Formats: sequence, C-alpha cells, structure tokens
Amino acid sequence: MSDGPILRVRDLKKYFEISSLLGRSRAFVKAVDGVSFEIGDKEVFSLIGESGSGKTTTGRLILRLIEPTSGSINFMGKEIVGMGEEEMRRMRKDMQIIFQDPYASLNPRMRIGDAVAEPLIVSGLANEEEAKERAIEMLDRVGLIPGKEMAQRLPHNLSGGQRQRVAIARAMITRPKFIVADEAVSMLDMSIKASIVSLLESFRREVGLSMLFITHDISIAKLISDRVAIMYLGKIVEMGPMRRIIESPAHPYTKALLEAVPSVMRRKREKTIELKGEMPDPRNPPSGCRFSNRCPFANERCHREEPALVEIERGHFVSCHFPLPPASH
Amino acid sequence: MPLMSVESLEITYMALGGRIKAVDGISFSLEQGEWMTVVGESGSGKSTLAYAIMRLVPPPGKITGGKIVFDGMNLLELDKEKLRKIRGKEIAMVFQDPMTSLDPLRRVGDQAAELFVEHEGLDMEEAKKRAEEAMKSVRLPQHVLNSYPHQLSGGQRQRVMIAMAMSLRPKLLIADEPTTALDVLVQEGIMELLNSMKEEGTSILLITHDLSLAANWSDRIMVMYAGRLAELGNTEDLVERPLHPYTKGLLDSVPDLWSDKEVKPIEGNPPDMRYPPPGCRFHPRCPMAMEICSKKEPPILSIDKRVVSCWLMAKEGGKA
Repeated sequence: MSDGPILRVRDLKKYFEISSLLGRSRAFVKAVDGVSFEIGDKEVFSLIGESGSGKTTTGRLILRLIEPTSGSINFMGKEIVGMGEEEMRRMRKDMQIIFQDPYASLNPRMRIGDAVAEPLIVSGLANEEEAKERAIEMLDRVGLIPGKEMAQRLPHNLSGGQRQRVAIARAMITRPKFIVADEAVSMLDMSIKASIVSLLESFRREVGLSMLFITHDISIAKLISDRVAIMYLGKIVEMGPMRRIIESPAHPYTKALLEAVPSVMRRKREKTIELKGEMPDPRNPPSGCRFSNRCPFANERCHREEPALVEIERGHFVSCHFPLPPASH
Repeated sequence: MPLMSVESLEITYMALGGRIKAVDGISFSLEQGEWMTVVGESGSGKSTLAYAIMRLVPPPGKITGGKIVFDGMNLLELDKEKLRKIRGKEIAMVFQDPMTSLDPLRRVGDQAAELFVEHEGLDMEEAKKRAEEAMKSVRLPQHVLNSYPHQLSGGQRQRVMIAMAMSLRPKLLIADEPTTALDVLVQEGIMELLNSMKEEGTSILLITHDLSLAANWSDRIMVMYAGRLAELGNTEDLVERPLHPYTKGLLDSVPDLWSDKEVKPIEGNPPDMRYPPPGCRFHPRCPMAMEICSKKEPPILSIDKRVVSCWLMAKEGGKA
C-alpha cells in the first residue's frame, strides 16, 4: 500500500429531493454540500456536528450505503464512486461500520458467535468452521470472555456495552483497514463509554486501523481523534488537529459548541459567544454563510458571500470571513 | 422545613420469577429553590424515583415502603382527586421524550391553553393569551402555537413542555433526562430555562446519567447505584472530594474537554437487577472492596454535609 491517505474525499455532495408544498417545483435538502477531507493511515478523524449537520450522511456515502449526488471518494488508491458491485463487494471487507444502536444492528435470533462469523462467510474469507473459530478468538479479543461460552448467547442476554463489543467484533473480523464508527458509544452508560473507546484505540495501535469517528460528543471525540472536522448544515466549517481546535477554535460556531459542552473541570461556565435563534430549516439555509443568521459577528458580507474553507495556520482550516484570533500555542 | 423529604423509599417491580427492588431505601430532602440532580446509570433506579414522586410508577412497579412528604403532605397517602390537583400545579414533570406527553393530533397552542382552563379555571380566550405568554417566556416563536408537535424540532418540543410546566409556577419541577436526545447547544438553552425557574423559587430535581451536566448546574448531587444511594453532597464537595469509590470511578471515567487527565473506565457492568450482588451492590466493580463489602450491606452514613453508603467510610468514623 502507498504512504498516501487511506481515504480521500473530494467535493462530496448528497442532495435529497423532497416534495414541495404544491408538488410542482422540485426542492432539495443539501444534506452534504461539497465536503472534502483526507484520512491518513492509522489516523482517527472525527466528524462532529449537531443533528442535521450531515455528519451521518457523510459516513454512509463513504461506505456507499447511499449513492452520492456528485463528488469523489478514493479509498486505498481506488475511486469507489461508480465502482461495480463485484469490486465493491471485495472492497467492503476493508471498510466496515459500527452503528449507534447495537440493539438494532444485531439479529435478535442469531447467536452472537454466528453474528460475528457471518461477515467472514459472506465475503468468502473463510469456511463455516474456520469462521466460527475465528469468531470465538475475536470475542475474546474484544473482552467478551470466555469467547467460547459467549458465542452461544443471544443479543438480549447481553448488556448495551457487551452488545457494542459484539458489533465491534463483527466489524473487525474481516481485518478491515478502515471503519466508520457512527455515534458508536452515544447510547452507552458513561462508565462504559471510555472502555469501548479504548477498545477501538487498541485496534488502531495493534493492527493500524484508520477510523472515521462520527459523534455529537466532543469530549468523547477528544479521547481518540488526531484530527477533527466540525460540520454545520452540510458543510465543514472548521477542520484541524483535535487539540488545536479545542484550544483555539477559529469559527464562532465551533467556539459556541465548545463552550456549551458540560464539564466537571470548568463548572463556572465561560460564555463568550451568544448564538441567535435556532438551527435553520435545512431545506432553507440562509444565503451567504450558512451560519450568518445565528452568528453574533455577522455583517452584510456574511449574508451575501459564502466563505471558502481556507488554511489559517498549518493544517487548520476555517470557513469564515472573520475568523477568531488564534490562541497562543 | 424542606419543601420535600423522601424517607426510606422503596419501589418494587413484581417480575416473572421474582421481585426487583428498583429503589431500595432512598432518603433525601430538597429545599425550596434548590437544584438537586440525581445521577446514575441505566438500572440505577433514578427515573423510577422521579416517577414515584409524581405517583406515576408504571405497573408492575409498586411503592412498597417509605414516605414522600411534600409541603407537609405525605404524597403516598393522597387520594386521586388531591393528586390530580398537585400534579402540574404544584409538581410538574418534563420527560426525555416530549412526544409521549403531547397529543400528536392537536395544535400545541390548544394543548397549552387547556392546561390553564383545567388548573386556573380560565375561559378559553384568557387561556390562549396565557399560552401565548408562556411560549414567549421560553423564546419560542408564536407560530409554534399553531403547529402540531411533529412539526417542531426536538428542542422546540422540549421547550414547549417546559413553557407549560413553568407557566403554572410549580413549587417543584422534575426533569427526567430532558436533554439526553438533544444537541449540546439546545441542551444549554434548556438548562438556562430550568435555572431561570430556580431563580424564581422553583425547586429543580434533575435526573440524568451525565455527571458533567450535573456538576455544571446543580447545588447538590445524589449518586445512585443499583437502586441505592451511593453518595449525596454539595456539588463542589462531591466532585472535588468524592468519598464513595463509585463516585470517584464515575469522575475518572468521564472524559473532559478541559482536562488531560487519563480517562479510566469502571471495570465490569452494572448488575442485573434480578440478581443483585449481596452486601454492597458495587463491590464486584469496586477497586477498594474489602471482605465485609460482599457480606453486609453498608450503613448510610452522614459525614458533615455529605451522605455516603460505604464500608470504607464506616471505618473512618462516620455516624450511622
């Protein structure tokens, strides 16, 4: 494999057609509207955003669970937009997904050993007997011990955290190079979240896994991410190294988002940015900068002209006409 | 005198193959104008406790012991008629999913107005005016009144519920995971609304699994584990000097944006409440567990302004 990024996404768009009021004109929700980023080998890249930001749609486009309207997705040197089904099927063993809800993503009548073995059999990587053996090893590996015994259980006999471990085992059994974790720990109890994140982290360390980590929870993202992109109404508004974004957010939206995160350490909340109103209807985003109607600093230019995503310091990009001044390193 | 005191409350679910004590001997009091947050994981009994105060424990659950004294009355002894008057007017509750408490087929404004007809005996016209004011007070646009619940965002629906709860000026507001499904900016707006109610004298009982949220907004925090009280204290004392190993474990397991401390998960899982462990229910996960912890339930100790249930503290001279 080359030294380049494992994933390169260019100008990705997904417009969903919606029925308009009278059913005459065509209307679109621009769920993802020109998103570009790269994920390096062994890198964890987080997409953070509120509901309606397009972060989940982006993850599904990359796995081609849905088809993009336009744009390019290059995975391990190959363009996968428009790739034929047969080739895509082979590609899938290298790209897996972990969903938010382990209750919904596991077949309730399938023993977990079989659920974990299934992807190996489906992708023709092992016969049934080998697959079952490897599933047991994988259950041990993800902390469902003893794997041999756990393999016999049904999903409803497991706790939420255990089910999410099954989902991870199922994703990792084909030894993928890359996974998309879509709100993978959001529904878990707080004492469990960190252990699931450290399990994912251990796969990165040991087998060089790259990851797209999609979440609305910035504190969790911070635990595992090298870099992060903040999305708002279908666009990336800021992108850069995780630590730098936390210490020196350049986009007013990023700063407001960070200040709203509850924290045991900062109990006296410092609020420097007061947002106006609510997230606009995605069918009807404001003209110019999409954040302009909520931004306390917006002026006439912001309402008129859409800002480009530009690099303001090494590796730190922001889409704002008036970015906040950088904090010192 | 506190606004409410809960004494040795016990709630039991009669399940196939046995009884589950979802809430087991919980006592605390709440002052007028105080914000207390109950923190716990799934199965801790925190929501069951909230429902019990409203006398809304869903069957097969039953309040099997204890007292809830609110404003001088034991809520557990009130008849249906008196309860109906207290609910909404004296004690209001908002839930995690506001869709469960809004009628999907009726406009929001009509539902809000009905509240004032019912509780304040207003005629429909006056009631509609009050509903308008209520939506304004939570900064919701007027068109919300003419909308059906499904036409609103999750955050807007929750603000509608809070507007309705606020407008009757209850003495106590119980909020059960009101922001769990919402984004952080929306969550912050909701917390600010609860705080403004508190400033006007309403007591707040927030139920959440999020210790950070509790730390940011409450005067006191009660930590529950497997149906029992683990620790209760002033927010600052509890987060800065936790006494119970479970509280400490939670604090260590919560990632924090503004700290580089190492995050350490609590090993193991909360118990299956059908088969709770003997002794202290936390002992199988407790790094400090001693022999006695697996044999005998720890006493509930008062140490200064703190309440803690742990054998480690019993040894260090707390009073039972």
